[in-house]
Amino acid sequence: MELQDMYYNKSEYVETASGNKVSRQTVLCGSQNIILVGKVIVQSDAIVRADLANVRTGRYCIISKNSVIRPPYKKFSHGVAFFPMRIGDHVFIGENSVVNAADIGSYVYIGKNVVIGRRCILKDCSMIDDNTILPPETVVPSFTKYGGSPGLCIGELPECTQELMTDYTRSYYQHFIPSRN
Amino acid sequence: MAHLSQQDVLIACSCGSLRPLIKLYFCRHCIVLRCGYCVSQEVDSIYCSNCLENLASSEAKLKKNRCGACFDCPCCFHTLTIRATTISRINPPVDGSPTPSKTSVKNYYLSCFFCRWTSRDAKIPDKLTATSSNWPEHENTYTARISSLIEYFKIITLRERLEKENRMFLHSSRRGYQHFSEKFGLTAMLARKRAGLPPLSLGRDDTSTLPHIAPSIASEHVEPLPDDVFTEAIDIVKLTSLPQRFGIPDLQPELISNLFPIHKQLFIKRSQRCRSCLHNIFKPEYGPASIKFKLHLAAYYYVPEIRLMEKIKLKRRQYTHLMLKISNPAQISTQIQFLQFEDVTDIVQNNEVFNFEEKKDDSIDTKSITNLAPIQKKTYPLEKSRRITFKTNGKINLPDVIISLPARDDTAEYDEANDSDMYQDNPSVIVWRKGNKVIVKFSVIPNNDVEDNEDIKIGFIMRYSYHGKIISPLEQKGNKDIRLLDIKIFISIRVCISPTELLTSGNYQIRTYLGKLMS
Repeated sequence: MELQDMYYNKSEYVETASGNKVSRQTVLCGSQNIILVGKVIVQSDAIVRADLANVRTGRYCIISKNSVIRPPYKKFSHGVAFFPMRIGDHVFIGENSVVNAADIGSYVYIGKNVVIGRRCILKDCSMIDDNTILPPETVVPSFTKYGGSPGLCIGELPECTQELMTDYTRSYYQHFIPSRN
Repeated sequence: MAHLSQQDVLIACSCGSLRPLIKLYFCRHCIVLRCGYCVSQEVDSIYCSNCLENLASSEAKLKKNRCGACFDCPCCFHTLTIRATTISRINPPVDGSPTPSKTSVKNYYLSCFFCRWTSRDAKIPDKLTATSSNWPEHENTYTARISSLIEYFKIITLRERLEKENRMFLHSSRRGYQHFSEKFGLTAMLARKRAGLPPLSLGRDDTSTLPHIAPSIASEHVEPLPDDVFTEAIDIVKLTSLPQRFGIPDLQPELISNLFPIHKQLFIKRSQRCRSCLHNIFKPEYGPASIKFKLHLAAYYYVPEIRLMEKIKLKRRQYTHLMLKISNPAQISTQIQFLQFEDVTDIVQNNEVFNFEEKKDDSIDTKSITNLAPIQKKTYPLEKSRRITFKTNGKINLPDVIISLPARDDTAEYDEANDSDMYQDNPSVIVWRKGNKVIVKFSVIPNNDVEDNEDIKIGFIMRYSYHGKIISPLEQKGNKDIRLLDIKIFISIRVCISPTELLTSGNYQIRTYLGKLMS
């Protein structure tokens, strides 16, 4: 089914020159450390904790409502260190998801109510099912679908996942339009 | 997520199974659709999903398809991580110094970050180095027995193969040089080398070389139950679950304390080959992290894609408009038209079920690769064609037009110009057009006997032109090898008749009342 139009209140969203659409109702900590390359949608009540470490997203990323993006940390003998977080192109992060991953590749789909533990690595063309708990330091290889608690491999993705995700995030951006009134 | 799985529009593969477009392949040489059932799946590379290390197939076989360095938790099957702890050790005073010296040593153990199981629970001693290998392995008590059986059966297989080949050579005319290789025992030597066995003597009386194996002896002796089995309460927390037991099949421990780390199962990258023409359809690149393909023949890149535009509400005995978005993914323009199943001769409509069968021989046919060496000759059984059983409960009216769709152009997205002026489209049929995409208006009517909240299922044929050869845009006028391909499309419309609409139909109330009485 083709995506339906999603309307947003124009006064709520800030649109940058590179096409990013960021809601004013978000909590963007350390905004100088956030890099949104272009055509990224950050929806209301999302939290991006860039005060801990840099957060960099690629093009056509969608960060849905109530999701939390938080750079991962590692405990050392002398304290805790935070690591920068990198998100690739054409990545969808579903509602109410908490993402602590170290590296998210391109063409990745993260469902609703997902918890991604610290320092996880999500390779290109992977998918995390809804309601999944991915424990810390999990590696999700390409063309696999992880689900359950703890997140285990529950299936594989078709070979054309790259085009599917590109098409999905592009059409999401095109259908995310300001309401007329 | 429904957008990605695309379950509402199904396409019939050449073997008869119904799949969404994203799970189909397109063989450019046979010019037919193939699904996962009718291609041969070949293991291309073997890798560990955690450390992403590639393994050679012989090495993977030796390690029983498990990674030597990565472990799974035996409790929750999550990957185990190496953790370090610092233990301070008090050394006895040396050289007469009054205070004992303290040294801190780092110890490493395996830990699960999900269920907090550690290798200390299995009483595995900590290691002094952080290397991921050399963790103690539990020894299977039957290893020697299993290996002797494997050895025995390897020799039996080899002998049977030799006999078969001998018989074949006796019956066939001895031409070429192959009988010489057989005469000097070269085939047998090669086969033995492949099986990893020591070379045999060239003499044919190898019955004496069969190793002796002790046959298993059935025993009537069953260990009695422990005395406290009826008196002691069972502590379920300490017992393992069935998945935990089957995770370690050779031990199958009953108690949590006897669990042992499991070596991580390896993942594979596969390539697909058409079983009919034996050409490769998909070939991934070697690296486990690579998402690129050397060869990439998915139907998604060749067959026009059909998508439902919106949810519709159908009405009984009334036509409702159905909008379908059609896009041409190919690099060459195409022309599309729609046909009913009745219009095409090889499809028989039997009441409501389409009993469609390809005109193929039912017996399983085999093809073999002939250009390989005889010892590597492979046979691929062809998939038996299935019967499409898709029960339609609605009728679709198809527009009698030929729609031309231009080639896919990634820059068209940035082009604001309206393309509809370039085509003489009928506005009552083609609602919208941009680049390689059009929205076409159809009309659907459900059958009269459709139940409440039942999905409406319809089917039709999409006929499109396919350019067999990849030609450059300059040559496009030549139109050299154009074929018309028929693709059978089956659509499920999930939102169907609203209950209020149903009430208006005459005998519906009586029918549901009777239905309730019957149930």
